[in-house]
Amino acid sequence: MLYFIGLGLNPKSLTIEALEILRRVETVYIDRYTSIIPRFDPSIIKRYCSGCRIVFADRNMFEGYGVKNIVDEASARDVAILVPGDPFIATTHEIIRLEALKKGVGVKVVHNASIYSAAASATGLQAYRFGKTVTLVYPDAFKPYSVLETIRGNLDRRLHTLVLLDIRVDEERFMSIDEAVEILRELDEEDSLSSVLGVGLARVGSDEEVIHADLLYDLGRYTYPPPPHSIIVVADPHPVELESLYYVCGLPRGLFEEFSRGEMNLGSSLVVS
Amino acid sequence: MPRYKQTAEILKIMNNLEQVRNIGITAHVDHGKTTLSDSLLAAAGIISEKIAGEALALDYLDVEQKRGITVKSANISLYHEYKGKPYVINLIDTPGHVDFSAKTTRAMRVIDGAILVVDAVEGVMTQTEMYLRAALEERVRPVLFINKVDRLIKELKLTPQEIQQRFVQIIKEVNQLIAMYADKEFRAKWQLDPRKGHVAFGSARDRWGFTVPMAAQRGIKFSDIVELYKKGRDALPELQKLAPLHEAILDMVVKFIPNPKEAQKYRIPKIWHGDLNSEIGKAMLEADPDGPLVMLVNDIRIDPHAGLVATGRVFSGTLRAGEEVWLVNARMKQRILQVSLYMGPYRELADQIYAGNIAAVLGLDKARAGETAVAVEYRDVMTPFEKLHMISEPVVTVAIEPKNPRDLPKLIEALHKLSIEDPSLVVKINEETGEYLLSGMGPLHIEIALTFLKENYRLEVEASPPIIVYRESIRDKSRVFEGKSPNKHNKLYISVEPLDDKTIQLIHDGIVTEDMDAKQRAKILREEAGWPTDQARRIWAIDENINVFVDLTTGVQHLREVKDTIIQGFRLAMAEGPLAMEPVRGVKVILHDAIIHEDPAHRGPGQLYPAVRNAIYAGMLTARPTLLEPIQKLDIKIPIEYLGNVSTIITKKRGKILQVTQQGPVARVIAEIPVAETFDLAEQMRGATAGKAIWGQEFSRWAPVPDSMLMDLVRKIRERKGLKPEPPKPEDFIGF
Repeated sequence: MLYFIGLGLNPKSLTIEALEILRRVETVYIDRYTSIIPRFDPSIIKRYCSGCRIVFADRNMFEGYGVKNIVDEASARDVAILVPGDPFIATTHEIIRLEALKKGVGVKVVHNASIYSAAASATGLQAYRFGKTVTLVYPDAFKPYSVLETIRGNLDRRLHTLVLLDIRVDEERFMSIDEAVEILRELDEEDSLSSVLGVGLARVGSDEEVIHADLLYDLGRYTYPPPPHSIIVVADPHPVELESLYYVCGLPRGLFEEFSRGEMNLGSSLVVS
Repeated sequence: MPRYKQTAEILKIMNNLEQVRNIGITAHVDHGKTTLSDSLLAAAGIISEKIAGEALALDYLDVEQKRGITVKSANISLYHEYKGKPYVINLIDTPGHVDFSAKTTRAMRVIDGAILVVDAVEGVMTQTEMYLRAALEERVRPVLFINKVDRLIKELKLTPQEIQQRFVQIIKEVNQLIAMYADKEFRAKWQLDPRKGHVAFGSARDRWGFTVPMAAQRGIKFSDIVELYKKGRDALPELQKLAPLHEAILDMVVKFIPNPKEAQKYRIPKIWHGDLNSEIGKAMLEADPDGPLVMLVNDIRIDPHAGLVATGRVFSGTLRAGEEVWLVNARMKQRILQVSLYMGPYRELADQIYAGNIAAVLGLDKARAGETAVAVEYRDVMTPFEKLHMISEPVVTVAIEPKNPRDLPKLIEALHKLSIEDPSLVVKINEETGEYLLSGMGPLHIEIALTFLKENYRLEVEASPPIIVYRESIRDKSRVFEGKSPNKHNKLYISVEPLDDKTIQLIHDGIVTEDMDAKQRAKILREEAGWPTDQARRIWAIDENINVFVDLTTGVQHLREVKDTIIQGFRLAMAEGPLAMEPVRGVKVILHDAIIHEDPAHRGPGQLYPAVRNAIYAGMLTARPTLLEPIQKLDIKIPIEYLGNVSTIITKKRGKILQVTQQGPVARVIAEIPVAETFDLAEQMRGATAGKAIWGQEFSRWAPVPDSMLMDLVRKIRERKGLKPEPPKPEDFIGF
C-alpha cells in the first residue's frame, strides 16, 4: 500500500488520520524538494512511527527510475510519502500514483491544507475569483515571460493570480517577495502592472505568518520572515474583498480609499473601452 | 643594427602611406620563417628612445631572440631606407601552421605582401603550397626567399651550376602555383622573375642574401660565396657585409609589395563583401583617413600588464584613444582606452593611427580575433570582414598537469589565455578525474601549445600521450522517438538523420551559420544542399560540431519559452554522444511535436535537458551509429627506390595512396592515413627510407572507422573514460 500524506503548512498540521497511518508504515519518504515547511522537525515523524525507515527524498528518488523503486517497495509493504501542503497540487508526484495504479498497488491519499486554499483563507480574497496559478522561476535558464502573460490573462478576465515563488532546495535558493517583485518589474517591459494591487504572503499558516497588501510593485518594501513566500496579484477587488485587504491584510488607508471610490479602475476601464 | 627612433618620427612616416608596407613571412615548417624574422628584427628593428634609455636595451634583442620573440609579438615594425627614403615595414605574425582555418585567412587579410620562404634543400612542400594559396586567395602578393643555400654548398656540395638548376626548379614550381591559384588579373603580373629582383637567395641563419639586381650592382658572384664558405665560419662577417640579408629582403619588399593605398584598391573588393559604392566601401578603397573608422582585428593577445591587446589593420578612418567603436560580431559598443603603434616588437602609445596602418588597441576586451570594429554611427550598415563562426574541430587531446602541483592556478590562467589567443585550442576539465584536457587540430598543434606553456609561461607540465578525439555519427534515418522528462510531464517527439556532405561543407566553411539571416540561410540550404523548404526555414540551432536542430512543430503551447532550454539540451547531447561520449558530428535533429508542462517550475532545464537527450540518443542508437576518425593527408618526398617500402607502411597503417608523381630521382607520394596510426609514423618512415623521407601532414577529413573495429574501439574509449564497456541500448532512453 502506498500512502500520500499531506504535511500541511506547519509542523503541527499533520492530521490525526495521518498519524494513525504513520504508526503502521515501514518506510516514510519525506519530500524535501517540492516545497519547504518552516521549522519542520523530522523527529516528530520518528515519534509517531517508531522503528520505521525514514528517507529524505530528493528529485532523483521521485522521478525516472526512482518511481519504479518506490512502487516496487510499496507492492511488498506499506510505504508513506510525505509531501508539504496537499500531496498532488504540485503535479510532480502524479506519476508515482499512476505507476502504482498501473502495477495494481493500492493508493490512499491523506489531504491537508495547501497554499492553494490558504491564499483565499488567509486574505479574504474569494476562492471563486482565482484564475490560473503560476510559478515565478528565477530567470536564468530562460526569461519566464509566460508568467506575465498568465497574470495579464487573469486580469483581463477579472481574476486574481496566485504566484508561487521558485524554490530550489538543492541550490539553497528560495525566492523572496522583494526578489519576485524585481523580476516581475524586469519582465513587465510595458509597465502594465504598476497600478495593480497585490498581496505578499510569507510563511502562511505558521506562527510566523506575515501578510501585506499594497500596490504589487511596492510589496518588496515590507519586512517578511524567510521564505516560503508567495504573491497574489489582485484583480479589480469586490467591495468585500477590498475591506478584507484593508482589515485582514493591512492595505494602506490611502489605497483603500482610492480603490473604494473606484477611481483607478474606472479610469483604466474607460481608457480600455 | 637596430635603429633608434622617436615615436613621433615613425608616426610621421606612417602618415604617408607610400612609405608603409604590411607584410608577412610564410614558410613550410622549419624552412626558416622564425630565423628570417629574427634576422630582420636584429638588423632593422626599431627601438624607441624610451626602451633604448632603459639600460638593458643594448642586448635586449639577443635576450628576446633566445626566448623566440617572433612567436610573442603580433607585429614587428621594421625601418628601412631605400634610395634615401625612409620606410616602415610592418611584419605581421602569421600562424606557424597553415590549415586553411579562419586564423590563416585572417592574417592574410591584413597584409598586402608575403615573403615566401623555401628551403633550398627540401624545395616546395605542402605547407609552402597551402600558404601561397591562402595568400593568393586574399590577393596578397608574394616574393620569394630561397633559404638555406649554405646547405647546398656545405652539405650537398653542389656545384654553382647545380645550385642554379635547383633555384630554377623551385622558382618554376612556385610560378606554377601562382598561375594556378592567383586571380586571373594577377596570374601573369605576379610571376616571379629573378632577373627583376622578385627572388632573394641566401641563408637566414648566416644572415646573408642577395637578389640578381643587387648582385649585379655590387659585383657579387656566386662562386665568391662558395669560396667564402670554404674558408669556414670566420668568413661569415665578410659575407654578411658583401650581401646583407635585410637589404636584399627589404629592398625587395619596398620595391614589389604595394603600399596600403595601392593595395586596398584591388584587395577590398576581394576581401570584403559589402557594398563598394557605399560610404564605407569608398573610404576603404581609398584608405581614406577621413572616412568612417573600420578596423579588422586579426590578433588578440593577453599582455600580463595591459590585459587584452587587439592588433589589427585600420582600413579606413583614424583610430583615436577615448572614442567608442562598435564591435560587429560581439554586437556591442566599447571604448578604446589606448592606441599604440609597434616599435620593433613593443607597443608605444600614439594619439591616433591613420587608415592603412597596423595598430594595437587596449579596451576592446570583448573583441576576438576576426572582429570588425567600426565607427558607432555605422553599426547598422557595416558588413563585417568575417562573420564569426566557431567551427573548431579538435582531433587530438592530451591530459596535462603541472609538474609542481603549486603551479596549478598558474596553469589554469595560462590555459585560459591560450584559448582566447587561439580559439582552435579547446580546454576542458574532466569533471571526474579533475584533469585538464587540452585539445587541438593535430599532434603538432598540441606540441606547439605545450612549448608555448613552457617558454612563455615558464610552466613545466606533464602531458599524457595524445588521445585521438573521435566523432559519433549515424548512417541512417531514425523513426520518431518520445523523449520524456524525469517528471514525465514534458514529452518531445524527435527523430535524427545524417546531414548530407554538402550541408556539412557549407557549415564547415562558415557559409551557413547559426546567427546568419534565416531567410538567406534557407535559400542557400535549399538551392545548394537540396533541403526541403519547411526544414530549411525552421532551423533553431547549429552547433560547433556541425549538427543542426530543426523545429517542425506547429502550435505547441509554451514552446517559445522553452526554446532556449531545448537548444541548450541539444548542444549538451551533441557534446557527448551515446556510443562513447565523444562529440557528435553531422547529425540533423528534428523536433516533430512536444507536450510542455503548464507551469514554468516544471519545465526547467532539469526536466527538458534529459527529455531532449533521451530522444536524440535513442534515435542515434537505432540509426546505425558509428565513430568517425580523423584522417590525415601525407605529402611525402622520397628517393624513388624507397617507393615500395613507403607504400607498404602506408597500406599496413590502413592508409591509401592517392597519387604518385616523379620529379627526377624523387618520388612525391600523396596519401591518406588515419591519425590513430600516425604516432610511430616518423620512426617507421625513417627506418624504411634510411632517413631520406621528407613529409608534411595535414588534417584531411573525418571518415567512419571500419565496422570490424567499431565495437572494440567503443569499448576501449568507454573504459578509458571509466564507463562500463558496453554502450547503452535504445531502450535505456525510452523507458523511464
